[in-house]
Amino acid sequence: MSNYILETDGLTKQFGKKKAVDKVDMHVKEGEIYGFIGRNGAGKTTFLKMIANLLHKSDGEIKLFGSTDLSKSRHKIGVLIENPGLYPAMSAYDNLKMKCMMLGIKDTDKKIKELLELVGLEKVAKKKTKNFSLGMKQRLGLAITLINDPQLLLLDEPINGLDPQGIVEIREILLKLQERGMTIIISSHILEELGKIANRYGVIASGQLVKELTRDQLEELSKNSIQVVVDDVAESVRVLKKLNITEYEYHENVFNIYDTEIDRAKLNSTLVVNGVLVSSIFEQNESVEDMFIEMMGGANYV
Amino acid sequence: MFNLIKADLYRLFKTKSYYVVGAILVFFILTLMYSLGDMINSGITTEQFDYGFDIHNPQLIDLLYNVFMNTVLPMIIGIGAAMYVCTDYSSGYIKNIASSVNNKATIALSKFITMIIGVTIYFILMILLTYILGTLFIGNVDIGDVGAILQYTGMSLFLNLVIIALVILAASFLRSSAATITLIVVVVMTAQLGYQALDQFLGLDLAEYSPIMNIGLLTPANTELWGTMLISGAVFMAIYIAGSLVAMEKKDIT
Repeated sequence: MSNYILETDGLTKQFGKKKAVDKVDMHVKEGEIYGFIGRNGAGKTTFLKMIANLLHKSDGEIKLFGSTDLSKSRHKIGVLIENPGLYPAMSAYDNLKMKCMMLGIKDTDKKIKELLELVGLEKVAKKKTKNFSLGMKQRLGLAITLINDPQLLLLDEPINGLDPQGIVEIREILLKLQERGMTIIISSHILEELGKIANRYGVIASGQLVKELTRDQLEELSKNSIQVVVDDVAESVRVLKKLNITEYEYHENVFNIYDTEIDRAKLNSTLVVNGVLVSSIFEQNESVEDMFIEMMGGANYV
Repeated sequence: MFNLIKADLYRLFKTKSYYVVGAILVFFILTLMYSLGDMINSGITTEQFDYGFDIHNPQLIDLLYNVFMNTVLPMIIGIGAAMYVCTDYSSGYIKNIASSVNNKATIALSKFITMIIGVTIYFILMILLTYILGTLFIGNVDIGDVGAILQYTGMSLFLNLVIIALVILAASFLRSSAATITLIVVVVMTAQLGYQALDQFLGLDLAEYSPIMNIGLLTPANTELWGTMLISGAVFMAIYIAGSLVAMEKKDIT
């Protein structure tokens, strides 16, 4: 039995001739925070809307909680897509009450109180949401998604437009929810923030899922190396062999040595003693950010 | 769906616009009764008074006829309904609702049932106000045949609900209160012109089948026409509601 809470197989959404989501095969395990990364317009929101029953899929399959019969599992998911949908002329309490009534929740007062406390809005329960800050609206939107005690949360750019304090608040709430066993899919283009909470990542570019990888895989792939620029490639190769350095590659006269524990001074002096001129030697880190940007299509990708 | 209706009713009675529309209706009836009373008290004779009732023995049903025959009424109620229904889209709350239901068509149906309850309350209010303000401005108003009042009010309510069904259909497609309100106002204001044009250029006299036209044609006395009005109204209502259900289910929520 699959332990994937969400699986998609060739999921596609076409608007006219344009494929906003193109054959996406996503796999989200139970209990993880899945970071769904992509540029603006990559297809993240469209994908999540299909899972959330807001858009009809053009092709492909969605399996939620092991079943393709989504009517049985919709009540197990909570959804916050784009901006939180709030009635501006109603209070935080009333917005939550509406959703409670819709779902047939009993003892709504207790539920609402719990949720407002979880998201830190208990003191503004009676305040109309049109007077809320963006951060408060996002937190209330999150509270609304939690009314039915979902097992899976779909959050689309929940930290967009928030100040640093707001971002920290949302992050803390999400980590608390994960401790309770909730699975969370969170889409964002803010890599730094996702990097702090996600266990697994899916990178989407131009509607296609480019890669899925775990946090460990991500760290392994982000390469650190010592880069050496020389004038004599053949002699440099002999020197590296003499020094028992085997993990390297070179392109023209630039060597990337992946064993970053080696003594750079010794390497430099050995090359020089053997007649190799070294014009530069430094440690190069390909950051996680650079890696993702490359996966999403490069810095100048339009 | 019962839960959806409960939630929609909760929002309806928490929404300021419901009471604003109610206040507008109060003002409308107030000015109407005042102007009728002013005319009667100025010494006009029954023969000169062409509002269809005996000024020396005004009946409640006659005053109600003067209220309900106005196409201003369905326009006011239609605008209120459009604002209520379209708030789900303008606020984005529709995303919270649609992601929680298996069949999105129930959203439109719930709105219609909520509107039936809301508009019925308006009509009860209008009956009471017409009696009170009629007595105040015109003089002793005889309640008369309660059964006839209920039947006539029921017919008028039904025809207005057909307009509400049209509002919900428009909202389901347009998903914008500005566009929906504009459409309803244009439809109500130009219906007569449209049917006259159909009659003149195509020889098709369809006015008697139009719920909007029937709001003005309906009188407490012409009960022989009520059967046709009911059937045509029911057909239009069914088409509008069916269209709304399909639009809600099939149209993406972008």
